[in-house]
Amino acid sequence: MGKLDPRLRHLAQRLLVDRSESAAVRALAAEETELAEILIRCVGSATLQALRQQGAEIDSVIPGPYLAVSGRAPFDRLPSIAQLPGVAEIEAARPLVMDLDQSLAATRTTVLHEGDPAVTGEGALVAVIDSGIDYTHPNFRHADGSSRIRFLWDQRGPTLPGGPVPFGREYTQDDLNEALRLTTPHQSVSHTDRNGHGTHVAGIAAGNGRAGDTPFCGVAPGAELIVVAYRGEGVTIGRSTRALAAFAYVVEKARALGRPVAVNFSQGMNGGGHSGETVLETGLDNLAREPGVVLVKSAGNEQDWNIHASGTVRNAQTTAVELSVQTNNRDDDVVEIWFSGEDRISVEVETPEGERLSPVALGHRRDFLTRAGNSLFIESAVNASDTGDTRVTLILSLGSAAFIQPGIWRLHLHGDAIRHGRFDAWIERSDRSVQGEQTRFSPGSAEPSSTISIPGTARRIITVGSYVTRPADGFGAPLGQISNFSSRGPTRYGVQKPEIAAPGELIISARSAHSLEPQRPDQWHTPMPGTSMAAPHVTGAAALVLGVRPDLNCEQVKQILMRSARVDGFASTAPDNVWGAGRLDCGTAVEFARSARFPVIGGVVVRGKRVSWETDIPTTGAVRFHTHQRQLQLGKSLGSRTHLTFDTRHEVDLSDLDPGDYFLEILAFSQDNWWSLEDNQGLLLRLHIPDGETERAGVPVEDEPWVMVDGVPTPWSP
Amino acid sequence: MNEALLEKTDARTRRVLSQGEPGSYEALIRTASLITAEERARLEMAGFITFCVVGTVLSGAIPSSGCLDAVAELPFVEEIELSRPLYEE
Repeated sequence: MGKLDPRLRHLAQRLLVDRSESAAVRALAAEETELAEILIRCVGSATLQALRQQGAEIDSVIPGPYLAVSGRAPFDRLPSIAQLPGVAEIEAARPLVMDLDQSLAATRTTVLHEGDPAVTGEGALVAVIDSGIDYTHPNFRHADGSSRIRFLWDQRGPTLPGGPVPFGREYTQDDLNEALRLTTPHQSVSHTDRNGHGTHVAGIAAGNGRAGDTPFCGVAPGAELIVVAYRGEGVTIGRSTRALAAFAYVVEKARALGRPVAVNFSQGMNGGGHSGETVLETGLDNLAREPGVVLVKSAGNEQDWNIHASGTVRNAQTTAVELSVQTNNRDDDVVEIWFSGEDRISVEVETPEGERLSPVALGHRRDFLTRAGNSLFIESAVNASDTGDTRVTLILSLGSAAFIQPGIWRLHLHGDAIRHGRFDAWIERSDRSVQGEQTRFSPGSAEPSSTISIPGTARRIITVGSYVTRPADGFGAPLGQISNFSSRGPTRYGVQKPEIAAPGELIISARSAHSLEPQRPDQWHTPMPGTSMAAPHVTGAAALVLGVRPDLNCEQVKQILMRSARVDGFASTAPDNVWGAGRLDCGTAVEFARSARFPVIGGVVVRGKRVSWETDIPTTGAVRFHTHQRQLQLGKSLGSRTHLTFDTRHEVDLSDLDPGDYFLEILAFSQDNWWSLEDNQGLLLRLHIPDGETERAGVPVEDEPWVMVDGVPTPWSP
Repeated sequence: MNEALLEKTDARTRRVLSQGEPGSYEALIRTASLITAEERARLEMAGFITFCVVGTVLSGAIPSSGCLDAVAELPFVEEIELSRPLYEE
């Protein structure tokens, strides 16, 4: 009977005793029969036959590692069906009263909430960095009315001199509880969420479903919350400096409480090289190393906006990229073109009138004024953000004109000296509430890959795409498909993104009483679409995982979520840069988390051309290397050398590499295929391969060996 | 705008600075390695008001563009990126 979900189990047992449970049976029954509508997870076509022999009527079968079967079965046969060896789980159909919990069913979260014992994220924290929160909403309060929010940092509140935060105002749980006891709480804690985005996101991740007659429960209803509210300016929700301060704040608070934290960040921007190299992404990757800290970000809704172009420039040839500027465009347009530092490409701009401005060569910068009166600044910067790559920035602004000249602007990329030729270009976001403000690449120039918004291209954080669990009134993608707006990977260095997909269209969650969002289906709830809504499903899932394994770090939780992801239906193409590893499956993720054991790497020694290390359990291993430190830090390698024997002692010989200085990182894979990375706390390991002349001259070539001591390379002797 | 600031900032940051709006700026700073107490003191002497330190990245405020020049001249500062807007998704 353990395979039956609790409701079915209860009814099946009661039916054996007393058939007067008919009212409850009818609630789960198909029409007027005593057949239960069920979903079954099973394996093998023989199991399907066995189900039919038990009286089950099968409506549909979705293939995958497990078969997902929908249909009906007699109530009194459920115990027998549960005993079939190929059946893993039987779940009752959920009432479709308000379609409120489609996403929890889709992510197999309800089996955790209703399990014995229930898994709800208790012991973990969920942090939401966003527009704020309606702290009076019942979903963020306990049954006794007290707050589930441990800390609320309102960055836009009046700054308290000498207070615990550098700007704005911090409210503790005691402050909130004191306010909630008042008839007008906002006279005490004035914070409100007028935007509504933050309240909605928090509800998905951690709402407890106490509001309204038709409760919608979040993924981690047992977790407590930390909330940071930005000060938005116009259409922007916040700024990168305050975002990093918010992340640091929530991690500091979580450490002080001794609890793990899953942090949700449902915002982004398009400016940058999309390889994780921005300063904000560097900071977030630093933070994501900490045990008990998981960072989750929305993939972005950029897929339909033609904000990415790419192509190849050949030696002594020219490739043109077209920008489509609309009428009524007044804000600056910022375009970044990135290419390898081994290429020399100059950029020449042609206006819609056909005026051609002088080419700007590698490493130069220049201001232009077009005949139509617009200003254009072009800068070609080598070794941008220490990546070794070149970034050409174009800033197109009004100048003396009333608007930026509408029409097609052509960017002519001249291949002055080419070794690789690949380029990528992105357009920064504009105010899309103003018709015509957002410039795009023309359809012939736009490339649908690599549209993940920043900081979603950071290496360590978990980036989340959106799929449809509730189609939006005939628009958009069909049920079960990836959302049309969901941004795609990979990063510019080819790292797969997003990591995973979760429901993001349409999602009903908590509505802020101070927002103008529609009251649908009731005053407490409202629907919203976006990867903003997908990310908190994963944040809540991370909290569920951390609740049972508080020791895990972001990359370990990421592995668990990705390994447990479902690849059924439309997601059968996964793993890829659309779905990531597939659809979020919270039930399987928690199951994996309980037993996952990640290897520990130690005893690293670099001696001459060899690298050796030890692991606490038998693993295979690999050494990834690059001559460029920053590129390897961002996930790009020149190659790897492997040690394929399961052992606790490992050595890799790198003597076949060309002479030079190399940076290294070590990967260890357990027999269960969980992996760990040793990268000297981000600084990487170093190895020097001397040239043959040096060796023949009799100069000692074996470097002094060194080992890692507390993360610091230290001379070693036997 | 001194040579160090030209070298350690990107075009977007310099575009904002060139518009010369009065008031303070907020910026993210990337350092070559983990910042020491002495280096942090030097940053503050240059006018940087630290919001937070996360490994090799600091977030903070700078009261004027003149102070930005002084911050850029510090040898352990590798990159300065003025605060950028974020959009809900």
